[in-house]
Amino acid sequence: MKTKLLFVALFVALTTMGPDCINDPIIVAVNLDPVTGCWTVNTGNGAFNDSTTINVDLEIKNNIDESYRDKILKLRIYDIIVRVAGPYPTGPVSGDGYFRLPTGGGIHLLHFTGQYADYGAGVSLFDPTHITPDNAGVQALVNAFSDINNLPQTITLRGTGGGPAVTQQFQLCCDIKFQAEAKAQ
Amino acid sequence: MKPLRQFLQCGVALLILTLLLGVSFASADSTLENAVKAFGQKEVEGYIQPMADFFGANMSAGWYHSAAIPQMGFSLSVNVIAMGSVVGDDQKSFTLSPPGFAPFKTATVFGGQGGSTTNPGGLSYAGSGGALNATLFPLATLQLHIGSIYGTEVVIRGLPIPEISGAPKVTFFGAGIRHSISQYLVEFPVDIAAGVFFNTIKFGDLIEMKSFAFGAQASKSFSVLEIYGGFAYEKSSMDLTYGSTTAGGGNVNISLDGANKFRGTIGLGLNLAILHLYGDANLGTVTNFSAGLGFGF
Repeated sequence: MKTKLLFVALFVALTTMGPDCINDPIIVAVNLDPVTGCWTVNTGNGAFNDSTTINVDLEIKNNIDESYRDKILKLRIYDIIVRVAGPYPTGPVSGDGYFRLPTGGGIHLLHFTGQYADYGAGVSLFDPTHITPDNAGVQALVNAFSDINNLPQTITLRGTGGGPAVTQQFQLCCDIKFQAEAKAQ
Repeated sequence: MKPLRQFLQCGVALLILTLLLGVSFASADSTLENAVKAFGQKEVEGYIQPMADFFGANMSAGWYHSAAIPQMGFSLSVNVIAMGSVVGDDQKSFTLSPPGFAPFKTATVFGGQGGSTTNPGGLSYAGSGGALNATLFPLATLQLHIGSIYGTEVVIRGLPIPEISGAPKVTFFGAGIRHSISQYLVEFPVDIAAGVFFNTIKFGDLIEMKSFAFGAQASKSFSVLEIYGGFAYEKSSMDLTYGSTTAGGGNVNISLDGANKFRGTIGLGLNLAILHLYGDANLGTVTNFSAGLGFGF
């Protein structure tokens, strides 16, 4: 605390001594922990149609370090990752991802194909060999999170599709990656 | 604000701020420090590389202002030396290449507004804005010259930085040794010496900067004026260690090499009995200046 007070006092002195030396404001772009939704693929024929609702407003704010939580100027989505969580069978999989905000219907976001093994480490929305984004859906998602002061309270992520028959329940997950611009002091 | 006044105010302000930022960064309680900790390794490397370049160039500056070293006899001088590296346009931006986006230019710590890019899919990514607006990046030190035995003198430098409760310890120390070459030459028109120098600045366990330089110096006196110069090879590094708070950042261990590898120096000194004033320009990858005031014999 003493260091911080000293720093603040001297910082104030410096800003009066040399106001042209320090950019004001200093804007830093920080990558936040992703907001994640997962769908369960039950044992059986390998088909899945599952949804999960995330308290996205709270989760985003919890992912922001408390030292600059009240200094966020902008928020943007910079990537979406599809991955598997847990042991998965070998074989091809294909499916679609949708999202729904508190108001409105479901919106198609992306189509994914490939092998389950391809998604072990996660596949980016920008990987053209595995994922085909729905540009209108991506834009609708981006627009929904463009105003830091008016974020949706919740987002429901739904995954549908099918793959090889599974003998052990596992999950397909979607990570939405956010970047925040914060005013640093 | 008039240019000279702005230059001096900014220089003093930046010197203090540089040290404070180091203390604050290492003591983990500033918003800027927490934000920088949110950088992944690749972004922080580009963002602070110029700071590594400038610290390195500054640490290797100001070690001498004359090549004349007595062969024998006690000599001592106490000096206050200031150094400054010129912040060029090249040091204000770097190219960032985030996955899924085309490379784009964004600001370093000395830049202005951060850049951004949007990919064909409609997603955007931005770099951070710069923090410091300066034309010169400064450093200062106290320096002691002690000689001389068989044309050899020892140079010691450092800056006593008071300990602040709760903050990591800051140490700034350097040492060098210089030897007269011209003592072996009969009636050589100029004085010639060679030297090797080490320097280290540490902010706790978080930031450590080191430099090493060796080279040759020459000088010639004309009454109270003395022209001096030299060439030196130098190497510097900045090591940064912290736990990143960004998604997937993990522990970040960065070692950045200073850009300066070689410098040429030209300077002018004024010797008034025990008072010595001097200043020099250093040309290398980083353009660097130093000036000093010394008392001694």
